[in-house]
Amino acid sequence: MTACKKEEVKLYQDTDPSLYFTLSAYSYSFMTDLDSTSRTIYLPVKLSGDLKDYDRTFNMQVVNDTNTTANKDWYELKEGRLPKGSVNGTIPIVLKRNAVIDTTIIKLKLALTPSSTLDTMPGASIQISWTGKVIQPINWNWLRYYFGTPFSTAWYKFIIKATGKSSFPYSPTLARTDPATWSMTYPQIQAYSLQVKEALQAYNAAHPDSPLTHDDGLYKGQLVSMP
Amino acid sequence: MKKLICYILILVAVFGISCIKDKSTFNTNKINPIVIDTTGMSAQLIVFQFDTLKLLPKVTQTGMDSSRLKYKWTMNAYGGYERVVGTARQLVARMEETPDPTPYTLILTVTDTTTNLKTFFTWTLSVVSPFGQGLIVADTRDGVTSDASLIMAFNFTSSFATDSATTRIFHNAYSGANGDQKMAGLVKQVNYMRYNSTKDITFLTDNSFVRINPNSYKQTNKDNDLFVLAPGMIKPDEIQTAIETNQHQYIINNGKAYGRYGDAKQFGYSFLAPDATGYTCGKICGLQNPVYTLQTAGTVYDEKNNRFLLLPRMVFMNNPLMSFNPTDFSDPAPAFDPNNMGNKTCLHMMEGYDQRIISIMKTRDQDQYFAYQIKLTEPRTGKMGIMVNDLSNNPEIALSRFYTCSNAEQVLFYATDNHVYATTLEVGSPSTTTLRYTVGTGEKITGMKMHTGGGSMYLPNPQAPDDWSRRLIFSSANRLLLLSTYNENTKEGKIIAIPVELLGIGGLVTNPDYIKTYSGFGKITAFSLQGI
Repeated sequence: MTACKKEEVKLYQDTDPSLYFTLSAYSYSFMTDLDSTSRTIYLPVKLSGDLKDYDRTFNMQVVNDTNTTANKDWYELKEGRLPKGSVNGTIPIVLKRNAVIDTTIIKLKLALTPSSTLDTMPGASIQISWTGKVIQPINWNWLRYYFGTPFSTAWYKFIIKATGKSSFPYSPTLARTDPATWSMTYPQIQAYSLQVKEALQAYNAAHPDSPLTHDDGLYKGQLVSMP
Repeated sequence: MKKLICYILILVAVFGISCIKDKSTFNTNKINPIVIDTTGMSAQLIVFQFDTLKLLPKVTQTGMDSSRLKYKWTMNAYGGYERVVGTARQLVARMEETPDPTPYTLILTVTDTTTNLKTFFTWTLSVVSPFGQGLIVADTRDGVTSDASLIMAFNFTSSFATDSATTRIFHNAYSGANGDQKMAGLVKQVNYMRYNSTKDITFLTDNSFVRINPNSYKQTNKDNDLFVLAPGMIKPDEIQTAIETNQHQYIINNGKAYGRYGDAKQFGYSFLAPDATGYTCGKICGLQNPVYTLQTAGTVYDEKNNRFLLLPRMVFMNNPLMSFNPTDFSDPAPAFDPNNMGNKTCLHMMEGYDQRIISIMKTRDQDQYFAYQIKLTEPRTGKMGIMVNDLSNNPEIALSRFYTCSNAEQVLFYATDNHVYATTLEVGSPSTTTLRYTVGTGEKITGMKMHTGGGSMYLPNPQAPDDWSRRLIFSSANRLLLLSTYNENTKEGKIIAIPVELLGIGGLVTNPDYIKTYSGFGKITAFSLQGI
């Protein structure tokens, strides 16, 4: 008779709504926006819990361990927002740029801050990294046929500015195993190289006393030239 | 004993049940099959796209009322394509399927609506393009939008061996193939390009490029699609194709020239200037047969710096434009300096006799007109400007709007609104000009071009010029002058095809029997050959 006793079914009670980052890491390069001195990026978060018919706000804090090398003046933390009726929210952070950032990769570890209305999931953290540093692309062994062998920060920045593109995924060798990543075609890289050549000719014509030169690397001080 | 009796009773009961009469209402009726009889009909059919296919197979079901039968005809293709094209025993269907080398499957399904019994019959059906070699005509009827038609006729289609062959004019083929949508704007140029199986037709309006498939006339690309890198602005100026050999195509957009070669569908980046002064061009001419020894494929005129520039070879479309060699004025001195044309603008550029590039030029601020002739040589020399004709005193030259020539004679045709003149351009001789044609009352010339495509034409036999039965047949390429005309009162546009009877002086045939007219268009704004 005890086994047959009616038992009330327990319904889920959202007593502890929690947030978490949907990404574990976020990298940003100022190469995609050469002229800017700062950039606001929006980190995606998600809610585990009941929806509400009003907006909710939340914050994040710096985790000061070995995964953080950023000076506190190099970023600004902003308040996050979880819109009403949604499980998807964002929290902005302003990444800044200076001479140090242009030469190194900056790291910053952040964790969501629990509040009385919105808790956080265990390990709700994200690793941010950003830089203004120009790094020679791995496929320069192909790009050199179109932009010349010498590589320098000034030259690559010029290429990016002339084309409006921050990457040139052209590599017939790498495309054999990863065609999705190395998707740029021969006609495309050829067209971009002509676009850059036209811009270089215009730049040098406009600056007859200071034509474009390589500013660092093995060819520092030499005139930029194209095949 | 009792046990035995018990077993016997059980057996009797079982046998008894087995022998009960079947009183169920289920019945078994023999249904006569549906028979589709296609005796005398080919199982492999070929139709032109947009033609109407008619089939009437015999369908029988012995002893049954034919009204029980339901019909469904479907066009099917690989990938799940299916279109119902008929619901009666007789198929009468317009074939709108895209021409494809892989045949479609036409399926007739006949269903007995009472029993749901179905019978099928299938045909393989090849849909082929009706649009072959001919003349593409772009016109407008409202002054705002354009359509395109195709004339397939003796004059333009090599397979039409005589003029008694039926002329096929596909009026409004563009809108018919594109959901009754016309092109926005007025077409100012149209051009056909083919390299092996890569074929397309491109229309230019003031602010757009429209590309279609010549097999279907369906739009395939537009504006930025034509370029590897989208230009900042779409502002079409000119298009030209070298169609004879090593097919390649040039366009000018917003003052910059672009080229594509072979089966490349897109234009690369615009040709770079040969120097820091840059260039802005509006006219271009690539040679139809650029011989392999030449390091250049043609010329453009740089309106910014008043000079001619050389195109790179068609296989080096990524190379920059080239300057002409410094002019060598040593004896025999060239006729002009292509590097310095003075304050002149180029009205038209075309290939003429002996692969000379002829440019009709006008002094920008005066009514002075000239025909400059350039002969490209290898090695390039400073003597390539071989001839200049001053046209300033030619009759009605200030009213001229259209220019063309044949590679079979040293003659320039120019047209005003109603007159066509021929001017000789023989090197070393003074030019003479003759009025060769006047359009009918109320007609106005809206375009003029020497035909360079396929087809044939008739000319009077010099031995019996008045005897039509002894007429001679010639290829129409470079011998048939095409005019487009428009009558504002009747709102009708026409193509008038006038053979050149006397080569060397631009002697257009005068016997009207030899002049063909193709009518039924709106105001024609551009026309061009369509190749095979």
